[in-house]
Amino acid sequence: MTWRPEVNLLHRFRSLADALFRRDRFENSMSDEVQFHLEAYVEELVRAGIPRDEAHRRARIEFGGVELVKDDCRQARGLQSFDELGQNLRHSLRTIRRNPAFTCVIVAILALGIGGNTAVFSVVRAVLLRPLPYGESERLVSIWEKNTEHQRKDKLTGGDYADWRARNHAFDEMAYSWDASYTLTDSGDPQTVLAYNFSPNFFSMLGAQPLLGRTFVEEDGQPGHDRVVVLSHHLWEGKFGGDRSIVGRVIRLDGDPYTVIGVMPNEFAHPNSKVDVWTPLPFPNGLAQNFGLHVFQVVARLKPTVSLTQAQNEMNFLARQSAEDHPNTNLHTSAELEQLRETYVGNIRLPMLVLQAAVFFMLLIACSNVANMLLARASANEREVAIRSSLGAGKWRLLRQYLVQGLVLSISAATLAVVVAYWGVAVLPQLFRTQLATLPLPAHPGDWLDWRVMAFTLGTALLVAVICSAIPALRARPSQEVLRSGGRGTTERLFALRLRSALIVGQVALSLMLLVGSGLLIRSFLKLQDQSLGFQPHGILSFVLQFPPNRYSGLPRTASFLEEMLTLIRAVPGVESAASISTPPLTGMDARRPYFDPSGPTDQQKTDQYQTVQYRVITPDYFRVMNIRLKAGRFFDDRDRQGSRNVIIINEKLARERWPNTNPVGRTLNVADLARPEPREIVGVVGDVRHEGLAAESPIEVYRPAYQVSWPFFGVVVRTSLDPAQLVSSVRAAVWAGDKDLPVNDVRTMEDLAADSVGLHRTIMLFLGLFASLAVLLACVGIYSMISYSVTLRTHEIGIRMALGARTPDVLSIILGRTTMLTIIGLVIGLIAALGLTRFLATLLFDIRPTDMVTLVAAMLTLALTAVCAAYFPARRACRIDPNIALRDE
Amino acid sequence: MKSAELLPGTLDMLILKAVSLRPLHGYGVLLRIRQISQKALDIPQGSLYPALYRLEHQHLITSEWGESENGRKAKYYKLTAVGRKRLREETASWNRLVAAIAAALNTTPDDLEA
Repeated sequence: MTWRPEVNLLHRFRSLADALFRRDRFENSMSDEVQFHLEAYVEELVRAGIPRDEAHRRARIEFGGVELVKDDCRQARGLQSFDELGQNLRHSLRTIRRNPAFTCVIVAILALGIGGNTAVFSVVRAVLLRPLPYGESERLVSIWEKNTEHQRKDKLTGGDYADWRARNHAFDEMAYSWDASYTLTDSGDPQTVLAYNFSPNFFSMLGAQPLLGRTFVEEDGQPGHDRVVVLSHHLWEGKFGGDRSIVGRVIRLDGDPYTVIGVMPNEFAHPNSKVDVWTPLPFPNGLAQNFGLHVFQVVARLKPTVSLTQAQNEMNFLARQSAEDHPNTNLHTSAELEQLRETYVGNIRLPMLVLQAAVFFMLLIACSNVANMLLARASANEREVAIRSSLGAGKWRLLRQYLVQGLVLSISAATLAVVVAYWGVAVLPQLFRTQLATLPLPAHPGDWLDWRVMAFTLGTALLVAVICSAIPALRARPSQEVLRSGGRGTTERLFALRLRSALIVGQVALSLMLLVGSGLLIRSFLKLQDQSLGFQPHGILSFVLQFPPNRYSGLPRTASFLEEMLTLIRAVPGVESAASISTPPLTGMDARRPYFDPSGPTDQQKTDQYQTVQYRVITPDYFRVMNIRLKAGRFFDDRDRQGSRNVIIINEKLARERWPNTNPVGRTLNVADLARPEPREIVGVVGDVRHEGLAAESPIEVYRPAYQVSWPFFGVVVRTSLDPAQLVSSVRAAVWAGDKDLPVNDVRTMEDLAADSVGLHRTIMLFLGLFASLAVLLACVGIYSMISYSVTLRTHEIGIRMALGARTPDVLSIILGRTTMLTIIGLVIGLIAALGLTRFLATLLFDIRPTDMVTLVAAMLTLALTAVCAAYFPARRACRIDPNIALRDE
Repeated sequence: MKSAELLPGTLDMLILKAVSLRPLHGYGVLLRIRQISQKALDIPQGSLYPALYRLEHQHLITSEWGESENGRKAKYYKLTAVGRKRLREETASWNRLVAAIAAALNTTPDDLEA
């Protein structure tokens, strides 16, 4: 009788479901039926003349075991699998209840490992690999100029842009952008909006579609048609309440009417997500011959047939041409291309990858730890397995039972892991907020989660849990030896032992690598902190005042207005002193101007022409407020006004470079206030300031007095003995008392800015430190459990040896010998791996070599010490074994 | 008549046949098979009910509680349309098999030379 599934599937399913869900009825029905049969048979026997009791007995014997028959019937209905599954689940739950801590630890470790890994992988993928919201974004490249002497990437000058655009064959299109800012005075507080000027073809070159309205077209570049603006999504939602009829409305930027022609979607964020509006900027023809001002940020689209390398080669050639044509300015200029994505994520790529590697190590350690614990338990279960095998339990039956056990663990861990992952992707981007500000990124945690990554890591870890749970059944044989020795053989099964040993070695090695990595980052961070900023950030509040150009422009208006503002601010209670600087340190603002030394030899003059220096405009007491030291000469004072001799103060670094052996005070340096360098007298030298933050070198700097130069915005620094954050509202009020339409922007305390400047380093250091600590903890647990298990296993043996005269050192060497060797092997492997891999951290390290000996030794000692601590308690337990009890106890 | 041993796979066929003649309860199936095989086939009681359940699971027979001859509650099985068809097919196939084997076993040396 053949089984033909295609005919019967539906009926089978219905039949099974019926029996399953109305189990009682099924069971009762079956009992009744069997009962009827037996009675009928008894009647037949009685009719044949057999006495009733005898008939009963015979009937039962002939029928066979009632329960067995019923089992066969249940199997015929397909109930057996479900019954078995139910049994296995109940068994698993009983096992868990017997030792809840064990299960909780395993589930927790797996959940953290899987969840954490998924979160980090998802974030890294989103940041580094997510396609940009532009058409064919791989063909978009940023074009930079590089000064090969200073190795600094720079924006393009007008002249270079014009030349390279005209002469290249590699690009379909080039477009430029230029930062700007406006004061938006519509409703509410006057607000400074961060703007970018785009060439009219920028949006179309990117292939970016607007959410509402349209983007720029060529006509928007024409004079008379250029008062149009495209809004960013966040400005539209924030300031204008998401009003869908905004297109066509006129808003006032710097007092001028601009028509809103479109709104960009949330994902569009070029060049960064802080930009509020975009306005068109036709190419200023006056700059077509200018090779001194680096103001154009250029993006280009590669032709379909041209690769990045080919384009780079062509740009190198064009750059050399420019060098020949304009040796005064372009002699050391080269062109550098990079993918647009790289421009966005370049400086966060390495930290992200380090994080990913570290969390992956954590996953490996977590999985191996879990495997270790499960294998240990499996070995302990050998006796149970042997008994059940010899009682007739099939190998597959046992396997299924242990698989279910593994699955219960895995599924609990998996559920928890999803929670951890979800939380992780919500939290991680917050920690890297400043660095990620330039990227168009998803808004909701759910969108970040990469389900494929989750599936993959889940799959791996589940595999680990399930396999390690099932191993005892896989090796099940009714072993006479196991049964006879009471289940505690003197040796673990060789396979299990080898596997666990390998896992311990792996854990130790990986933990060492994480320790070394985090040690290096910690030392680097401490060295960073030790650096002096060059000024005293404690107690300083900084903010930026924007001067609307149609109201305050040119000297002496800007200078007198500035002085009025400072007077008002100084009058605020709590303020000790206040001063002004065009571009305050640590704010990311800076300005550069061309300069040269007129007294130097003429050929040096030629090559020096149009080198740039950091250029700052300050009020006289700026240095005092910031506690910047005077090294020679004097600060600015009342002598330095409009009309009197034009003076500058330089910083120590510039003094050392130009005049290493003499006092530069009194000498002349040609510095450009606008475009052309003019002679300026040096009246003082001040200490270096780490303008870009602790991690960067101080640049060469030149200061000019505010009474001699006007500037469109000014940073203000306020010193107070109170907590600077408390002064914010009173300072704002003071400014608005002077001019109610003046925006006060970027109010931060200097200390926050200083902390932010090393924010990335700190975050990475903390993460790696966290992982390293967890790894060491897990390795500790692993070593502890290995030794502890060994002691339990060999209590009997140790008892015998002690009875035969073994002393404490002997016992210790038995117990600890293997584990010590494994730990040492692990340390050696970890050391070699660390030496090989830490080079990748080099760019994140400050003043520390990746192979720093102190860190390596400290890490090894830490881990070794941890291993000793882990071994201490079980070893002590071993030495305390009383031979009498051990020998007696089976 | 000497009892024959039940070949594996034939139990299901016999049950279908028994039930095809008239709806029967389990014990009745036992009696019926004994009867129609001229008392040569005696089903081992332990394998009867699993077979009945299996056949019902495959929807070749259906069951229904009813009243037995002596007024007791009993579960009666009867053939479904699919079961009837299966019985026909298996019977034909069995007959073919039996004929072929019988022919093979009854071959005499003379037949070979033909």
